Amino acid sequence: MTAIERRWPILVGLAVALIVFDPLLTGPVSPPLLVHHIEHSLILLLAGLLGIAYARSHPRRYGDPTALLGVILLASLSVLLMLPDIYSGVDAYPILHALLHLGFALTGYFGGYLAERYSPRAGTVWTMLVVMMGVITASGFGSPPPHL
Amino acid sequence: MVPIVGKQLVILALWLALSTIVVVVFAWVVSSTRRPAPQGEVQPGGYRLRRLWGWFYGTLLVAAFLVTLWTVPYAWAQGSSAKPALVVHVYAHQFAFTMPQKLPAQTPIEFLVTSLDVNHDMGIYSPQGVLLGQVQAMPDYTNVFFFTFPAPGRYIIRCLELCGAGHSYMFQPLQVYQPASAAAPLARGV
Amino acid sequence: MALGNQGPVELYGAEMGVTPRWMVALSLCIGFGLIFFLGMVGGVMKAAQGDIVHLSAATFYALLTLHGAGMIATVVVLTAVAHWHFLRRLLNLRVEVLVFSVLAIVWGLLAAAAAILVGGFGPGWTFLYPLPFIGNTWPVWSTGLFFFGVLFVGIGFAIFCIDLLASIIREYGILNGLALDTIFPGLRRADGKVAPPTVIAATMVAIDGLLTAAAGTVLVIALLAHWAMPAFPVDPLWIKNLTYFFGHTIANLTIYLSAGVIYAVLPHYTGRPWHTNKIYAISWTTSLLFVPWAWPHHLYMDFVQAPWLQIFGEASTYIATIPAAVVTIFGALLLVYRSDMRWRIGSTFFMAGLLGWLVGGVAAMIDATIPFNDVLHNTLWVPAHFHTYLLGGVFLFVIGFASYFAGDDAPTPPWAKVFEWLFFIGMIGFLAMFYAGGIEGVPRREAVQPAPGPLLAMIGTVFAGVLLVGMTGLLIEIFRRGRRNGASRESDAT
Repeated sequence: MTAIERRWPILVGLAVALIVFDPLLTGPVSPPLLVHHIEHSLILLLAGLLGIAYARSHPRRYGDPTALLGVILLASLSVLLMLPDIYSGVDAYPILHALLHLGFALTGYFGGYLAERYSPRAGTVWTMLVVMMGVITASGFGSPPPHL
Repeated sequence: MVPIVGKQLVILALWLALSTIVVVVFAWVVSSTRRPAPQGEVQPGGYRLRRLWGWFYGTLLVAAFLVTLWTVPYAWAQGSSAKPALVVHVYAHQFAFTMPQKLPAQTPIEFLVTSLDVNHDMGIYSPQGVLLGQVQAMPDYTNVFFFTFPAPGRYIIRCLELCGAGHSYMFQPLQVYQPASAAAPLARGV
Repeated sequence: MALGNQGPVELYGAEMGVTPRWMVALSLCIGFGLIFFLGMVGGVMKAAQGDIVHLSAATFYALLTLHGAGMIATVVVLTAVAHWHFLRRLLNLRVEVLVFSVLAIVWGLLAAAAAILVGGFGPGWTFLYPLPFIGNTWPVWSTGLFFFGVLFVGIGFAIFCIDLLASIIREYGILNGLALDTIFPGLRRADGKVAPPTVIAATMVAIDGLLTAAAGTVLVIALLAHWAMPAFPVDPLWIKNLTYFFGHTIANLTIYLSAGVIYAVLPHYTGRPWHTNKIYAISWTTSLLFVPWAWPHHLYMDFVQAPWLQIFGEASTYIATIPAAVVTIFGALLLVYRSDMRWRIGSTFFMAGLLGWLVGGVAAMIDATIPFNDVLHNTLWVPAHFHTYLLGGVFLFVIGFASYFAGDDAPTPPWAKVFEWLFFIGMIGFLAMFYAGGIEGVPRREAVQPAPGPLLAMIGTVFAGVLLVGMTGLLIEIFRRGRRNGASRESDAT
């Protein structure tokens, strides 16, 4: 294993922490919905990679059906967390906003971990799925029609 | 029966012709299995044919695509050539269209179509029953649709998008009259 | 992202006591049962349009929703299971994932059916927002239950795609799963193993399927959010795009799942191998990229749609036909041409299915051409074309596969040939009435149609009856063979 392969999880972890706690630094701001959704997808992606890395460094028995159940629930949760009703409620409070980001990070991490535990490389595919969902939500999830 | 004319005739002829070619090719391939030959003997010729077919088909698609670009019904494509003489608002709702009951023939009309509830679709049927054109009616949006009634008569406006239990009954007559003078300017914003 | 190898992979599965062969057989039985029931529902709808039986408008639209949603989900199950049958050994797929996927989809279908049959939910299977929520004849709970059902169908399909793609990445990697190593020598494996065509098809389906499942999940969650909290805003244009992105692509993918089956089965009947080469890599990468962009052709008549989407939608639809017409169907014809083809129920249905795919495809392309769409959109032309390649294409492949799976070595007995003829005559007559209706401008999805709709529907009902009789006879013959051959195959089933 090269130094980069050993150290990238640390760098990714730092990046996740930076995005998660970004609201504490920037204060109560509301970026446009699209930027917000993309930002949340980025947290899911990076945290998912960390979950996969952890699962691969601690190989266990594969195929636990409860892992599959967790994978499904977490994927659905990731979209539920994208409900703008939730953001608009927390945007004004940096601490709540950071906690919401933490929710995304945990969802991504455990989703990636459990999927990779279920079957090798499934974590990668699960992370692809939630990022796809994130990008699709960015196209207009929770946006009112432009004329209203 | 509704007469098959205009675009519908072109479509039917095109589809029947292409489907007939497909059926003939399949029949030929199926009948060829009566005189089998080794794969090595037929494959090189097949690959050459595939290359030809690929180029032919690709060229056909590009040509079809370019032709259609010039004939799309959208406002942005019609440009200044389609100066409307009349602007008509259409409000679709369960289960009727709120719009004028009489409109002039041979007059370019700009329809501003929207819906007050669910998705509808305003289909224009000629007095003979031929579908001449259509536009969707969507809540919160206004679709701009240019249309010129070719001749006077009793047209039917019919909903073409499933909009609830009364969908089948969402149609109404539209009287199209011969304007006194085709060139006479009409008031805008009916 | 390699963090060390995990050593030998130890898997659950055997303890479930489900053999792959048994699971495929069970899924086929469930699928054909559903097809038969939903086909009867379709026949009743036709009879109602032909004034043979009377249905209230609300009942008609509920049955329409059941027929559409049910058939799509069933055909997804049938084609996925058929393709899985060949992929299992190539990719070491696990049977319990298939069990889970099929259970989730069937469970979702049952929930949706309850919403429809008990609650009378009936906005069509495309459930275009805001119809499920406005001025409707069904209770609020049925709207929610239906969307939960669709969510389960999406989850079942997502699980299937996740496991498939993960296995492809393990065995080949995404790029070599598409056989891109035939183009780029740098990707070549040391052992020289190249993905066979059926795996290439699976790679495309898994990636686009994942995207479709993602779209479906976001779509349904948005609708469920609006259902639970009516203040949750929904943009009708956005949700319409998403609905067709999900609906069109999932229906379209059944033909690509079928292509994977064709690659595996036709060599069996022709005695000729089907090899991977550069052309397959290029063509499936093209399908992968353009099939998900074909959905805007459902929104041509929404003139507010962004112009680039309208134009790009038409271009993508055209481009997506090239791999099918030039590579898969042409390749199949070349494989069959002057081969020592054994004509059985399976091979006959595969050839007929390829024909239906092309004829339906031609009709689809005409409809997807913007200047023609304004006289075809939402007329019977639309169900005409998709019935041609779902009933006259995908479903024929599934029957062909079932026949192959049940054991297709004996020549077709004369009485089964009679049912074959009944099936094809019924199907062609039934489809012809749809096309005639489309050309005559008869709208689709109408409980009561303008003339000449009722007359065409009356003739169509007769043909549908002939079709159902033929189908029943054929399925009984296939089932009989399966039972007879099943016992002898059980020994080599793993």
